[in-house]
Parts: sequence; C-alpha cells; structure tokens
Amino acid sequence: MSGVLELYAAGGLSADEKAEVEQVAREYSEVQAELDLIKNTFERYANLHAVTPPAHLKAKVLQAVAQQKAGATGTHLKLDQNIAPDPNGNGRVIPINQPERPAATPTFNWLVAAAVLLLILSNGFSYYFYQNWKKTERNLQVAQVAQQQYANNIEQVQQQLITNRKELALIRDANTQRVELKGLEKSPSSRVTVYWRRQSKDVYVNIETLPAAPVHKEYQLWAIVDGKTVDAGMIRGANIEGELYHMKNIENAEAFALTLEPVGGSKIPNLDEMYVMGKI
Amino acid sequence: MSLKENISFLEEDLILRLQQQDEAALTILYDKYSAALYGVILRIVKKEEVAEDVMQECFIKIWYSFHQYNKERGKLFTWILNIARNTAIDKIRSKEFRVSSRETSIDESPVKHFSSSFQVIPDYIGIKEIVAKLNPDQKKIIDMMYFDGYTQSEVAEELAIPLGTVKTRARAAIKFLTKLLT
Repeated sequence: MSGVLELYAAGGLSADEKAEVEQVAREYSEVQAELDLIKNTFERYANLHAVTPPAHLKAKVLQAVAQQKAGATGTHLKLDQNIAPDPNGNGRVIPINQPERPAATPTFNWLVAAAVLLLILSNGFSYYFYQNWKKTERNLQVAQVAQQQYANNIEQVQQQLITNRKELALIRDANTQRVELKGLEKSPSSRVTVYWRRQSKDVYVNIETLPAAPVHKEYQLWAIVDGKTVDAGMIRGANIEGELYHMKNIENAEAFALTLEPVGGSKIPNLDEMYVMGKI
Repeated sequence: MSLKENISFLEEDLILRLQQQDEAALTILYDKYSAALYGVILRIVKKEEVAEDVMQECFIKIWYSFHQYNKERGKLFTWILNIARNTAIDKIRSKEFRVSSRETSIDESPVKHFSSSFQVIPDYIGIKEIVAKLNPDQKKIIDMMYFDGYTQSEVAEELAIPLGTVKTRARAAIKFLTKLLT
C-alpha cells in the first residue's frame, strides 16, 4: 500500500487502480482515514497556488452560468459591434480575368487606377471601423465595470440578507426572550434589541439605531441581575447598525444595557455613558 | 463573536442555498473559492484565456450538478476543487494542446494569497518556501500527476525512472508537505 494512496490523491492512478483503492478504503476505515489526511495535504498544497483571478472574470463566470440556464449555447460574452452600414463595393476584389498582357494597355491602367482607388477607400473605411470598434470596446469596459459594481452591491445585500435571516430565526423561536433596549437621555432615539435564548443562554444583539462609537471607545453590553452588572461582550466594527452580534452567554438577567467604554471594555460599567437599556 | 461559528454557519447556509438553487449563493461561492480554483486551473492549463474558459465551465458544472454533492462524503471545497482540476485536465487533453515554444512557463507563478474574510489560508508558508524546502525530484512527481495530469506509468516513462521510484518519491513528498503544511 505504501505510496499508492499518495498516487491516488495526486490523480496518478488509472481508473481500475483507483477503483481498487476505493474498494479497500471502503472496507478498512484506517485506510480511508489515511487517504483523507493525504487528500487534505493536497488541498493545502493546491491552495498555495491560489491566484486572484482578474476582476472582470467574476461577471463573466456568473453570466456564463445564467446564459446556460437561458439555454444559450455560447459561454462567451458576445461583443456587440456597432458596425456602420456597408457602402457599396467595400472590400470587393476585382478579379483580373484578362489574359496576361505584356505591356500597359489603357484597360490595364484603368484597372490599376481603380484598384488603387479602392485601396484608398478601403483604408479609409478600415480606419472608420477601427475607430468605431475602439469606441465600442470602451463602452464594453464601462459596462463591465458597472456590472462588477452591481455584483459587489448584490454581495453586500446578500450579507445583509444572511444577517436578517439569522435574526428572523431568533425572533421566531419561541424560546427566545426579546428585550427592547430604548434610548436613554444620552441618546433618546437609539434602539437596540437583545435576543436571549433561555435554554442555551446565547445572547444576540441587533443594533437598529445607535450613534457610531468615537475613536478609542466601544460599546459594551451588560446584563443586570440582582442589582449586579455582568459583562456580556463588546460591540465591535466600523458599521454597527443593521448588524447582528453574537455576545457572551448569560445565565440570568433582569435587564440589559449598553454603555460606551474605552476600547477593550471595563470591569464595571460607566453609568454616565449608558445609552440604551431595557428590562425583561 | 465566535469566528469559527460564523464560518460553519455560513458554509451550512451556503450548501443549503446551493442545493435550493439560490443564485446569489453562487456569487458567494465565487468570492470564497475563485482564487484557489483559478490558481490550480491556471497552473494546469498555463494560459490565462484558457483558464478563464475553464473557470466558466467549472462554475457551470458546479451549479448544474450540485445535487450530486453529498455532504457526508467530504468537504465542499474538496468537491469543487476536484471539478476544477478534472475540467482543466480534460481541457489540456481534449484538443492537440500545444504549448507554444515562446510561452513562458508558469511553474513558479507569482502566488497572491486571496484573503477573503471567510477563508483562512496559512500565509506563513508560501509556495516559495515549499519550492525551497521540498526535494525537487519529489515535487516534480507530485506536480506532474496533480497539475499535468500524468498517470504514474506516464511519469515513469517520461522521466525514465522505475514505477517504484515514482511511488516512493510521491510518498516522501506528501510526508514532507504534511509536516510543513499542518
């Protein structure tokens, strides 16, 4: 068996040889376990070769999947070339059917002149088409950038959606205690909701409205029970509104409050800096 | 806030949504794994335009065959990495895939670590360290099989070495990589 598992994971075995290894791995769990370890190493090795793909590829890939869905056969972006209407005679090759003449005859001269004229015209049109194509290419680039931005926006929306779903699951759970923390004198318009799961003791916080913490300060959540305050964790991050935070577990609570503390938190809350509070 | 918990919650969520054919989940999948996949694909096909084509084919396959992914049999990343590798290797085998002589080899490509907020890539060991420390003979065997699609017999033939040597070197390489990367 020595070396065979490594060959398997590297993809160096034939189909028959692979089937044999899989058979043995099915029968002996130790073999499967070792194979999994080796595969893991390969994955890490593969990961080392990671290369950030070019920015435009994301839109291209997502579009390819969408196009496939729509039944289109192509997997490539189709360039919409804005080609000007074709004036007559462009690019047409004039066949010189006459048999070879030794000297320049009037007909021949006329043909040469016509050919030269055509060449000049053709160059002119080529230049025109080239300019048009360049313009179209620029438009395409602009469109691709816009598409990338839309994709980024969608991603942000998705993040928010995940957060919202989590919160919804919490709200719907009958075992969750919901506590509304209302703004105190310091910040009357602030609103924060705490979700406390009675069974698991997990605490989640949703910041609806709360002023951004100044530099060097962070909000700290407190659980209040029997007249004592218990630290429930810090609210971190630049954009706190609309976020769902998973805080420390709390055994018992009668109320929750947020105070503004120095970064890293304090042992005892600064009561002058209490922004919101709510009782269960 | 437990980072690990957030990661597994999101991965479960991601798998569920991909199974339900939630299109936005594909975007997240792309953000999370595109660098790893692109790097492997590029290393195999060596040309960027081809790599882009393969990436597209790859994601189409992932999307349309996601019902075949079974959580019990392995990680999500394992599954999609396999798809990427197989698609790329099929590509280099399909037509007469000629690598033109004036093309620069991407053997030691400038590896950029794609640091997404979800994925943790051990960036204290980079490909340069691996190249420096791993025995080149051993690395050649592994790379030929993993990135160039050779079977063990083809490797033996190509390098004019016995089959046993191929096995031994592969084993030694993995042992070493496991130590370095775990």
